[in-house]
Amino acid sequence: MSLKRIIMALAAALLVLSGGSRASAYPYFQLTTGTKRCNACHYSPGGGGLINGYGRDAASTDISMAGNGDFLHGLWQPPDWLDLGMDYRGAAIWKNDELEGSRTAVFPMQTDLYLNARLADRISFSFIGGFRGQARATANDSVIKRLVSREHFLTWKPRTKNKYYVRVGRFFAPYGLRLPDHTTYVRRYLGFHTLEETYNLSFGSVTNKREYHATLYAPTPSFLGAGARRYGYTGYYERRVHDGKAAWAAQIKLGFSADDAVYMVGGVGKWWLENLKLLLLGEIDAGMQTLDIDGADARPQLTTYLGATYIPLKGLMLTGAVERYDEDLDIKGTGRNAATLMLQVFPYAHFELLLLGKLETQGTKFSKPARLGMFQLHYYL
Amino acid sequence: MTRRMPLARWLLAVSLGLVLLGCAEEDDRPATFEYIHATIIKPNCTTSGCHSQLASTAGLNLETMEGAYLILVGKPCDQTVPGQAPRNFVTPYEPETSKLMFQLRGDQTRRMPPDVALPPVDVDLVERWILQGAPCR
Repeated sequence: MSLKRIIMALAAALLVLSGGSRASAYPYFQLTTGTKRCNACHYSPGGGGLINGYGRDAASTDISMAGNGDFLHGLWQPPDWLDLGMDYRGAAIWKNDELEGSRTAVFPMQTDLYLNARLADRISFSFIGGFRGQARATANDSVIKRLVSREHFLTWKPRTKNKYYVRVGRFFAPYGLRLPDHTTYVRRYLGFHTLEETYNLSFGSVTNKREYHATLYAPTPSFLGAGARRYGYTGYYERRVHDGKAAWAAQIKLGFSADDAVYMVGGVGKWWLENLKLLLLGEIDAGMQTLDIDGADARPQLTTYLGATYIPLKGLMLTGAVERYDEDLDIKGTGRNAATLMLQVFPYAHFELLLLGKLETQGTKFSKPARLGMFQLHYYL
Repeated sequence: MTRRMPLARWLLAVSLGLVLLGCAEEDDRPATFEYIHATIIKPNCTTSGCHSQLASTAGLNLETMEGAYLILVGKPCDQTVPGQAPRNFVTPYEPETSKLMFQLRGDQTRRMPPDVALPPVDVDLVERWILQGAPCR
């Protein structure tokens, strides 16, 4: 078998076996690499997804210990009007909790292909497609049915005021810390879980000093994604301070469906303590959910994340984080808590090794938390 | 002095959360399927890789309230005559024989949801609903 066939067979196997997808936003790099805004490295105005030429340079010089961050390691460059990329993640996990004991699993977590094409002078098209994950196979499951595009959108930027943009299509509305792990409470419970990208019309402005994004959103059809099926609005304003070493943000999210309405306000804090090589990230969101159900009170909700990332040298990050989510502050015992310790190593451009340990409790019982250990190999083109 | 402002904001926010937590009351939520579907099943069970229409893991699509009720209780939401619950998920008035309760508690079977367990008070609400005859509304 020729090398070409072997590579094609391996690529096909990866696609077939691939599982759940993750957004590839890494807020840890925003302030720590001297880059003040996420769209300096990403095509998306809000960050995440395919990285641009500047991002690939940063992958070589600021993020990884060695290597060439260019597409295909610099072996071939796509034409000027086109950029391509790929993410692959394989994971091995160990879980242990009081009820079920220990379990282990090895599985492909993500295979996504990325594309950004400049269609006209100021208009570009972005696409992320791959295979969605599934907890267990079903009788009528097929590889084709698992193909999905979680992002596809058009972006327009005016010629003279490049900081502004208008974006239309499917993507996550800019909101919150935009952490890479979709199981963090500020993603999982606030409408940013896997394949919960909505269809949006978004307008915003991004500069080194500040950015804001205003987004009208509509639910994704149920055959394309999951989520709460609400129509609504999100607004996000971020201001960089202390010469780009810190940032604060205010945010709002409103959502309306036939069954309920959600009103949420929140804030984000980011602080790079350069002398200590420590990045602090925090988010808090307070919400109120009203239900169109007899006898149901409104549900005050609170979601918080606080993390500290130590970056002792280029290509090495150690993060400790605590989280809490209260689905109904009026009812005792509905809270969830998590504590995470995560080691990320970027030994060579295009490669990331991740080791994660997580403790999680529900309700008021803290004595025997569920435990999760995960090793992840991440390769991006 | 100004360098302390972000930390101060975080501490204020966490303090506010702790104050709000202290206000929690005992569970007086309605034990109806309409409420349980909106607040427990939909956010916890219908994620993209599980019992959403998209994945319908194990052949179960729990996205709509009417569809989920039919699957779990074995009769349409507004029908009073009991039907046959597929796989014995719910037997009205009998949580001790309802498979759903065994699954939510991980008792002699795989726990649901498999990734993160429900808070015990949510499991208790589901049990209370079954004890009251598993009404739809």
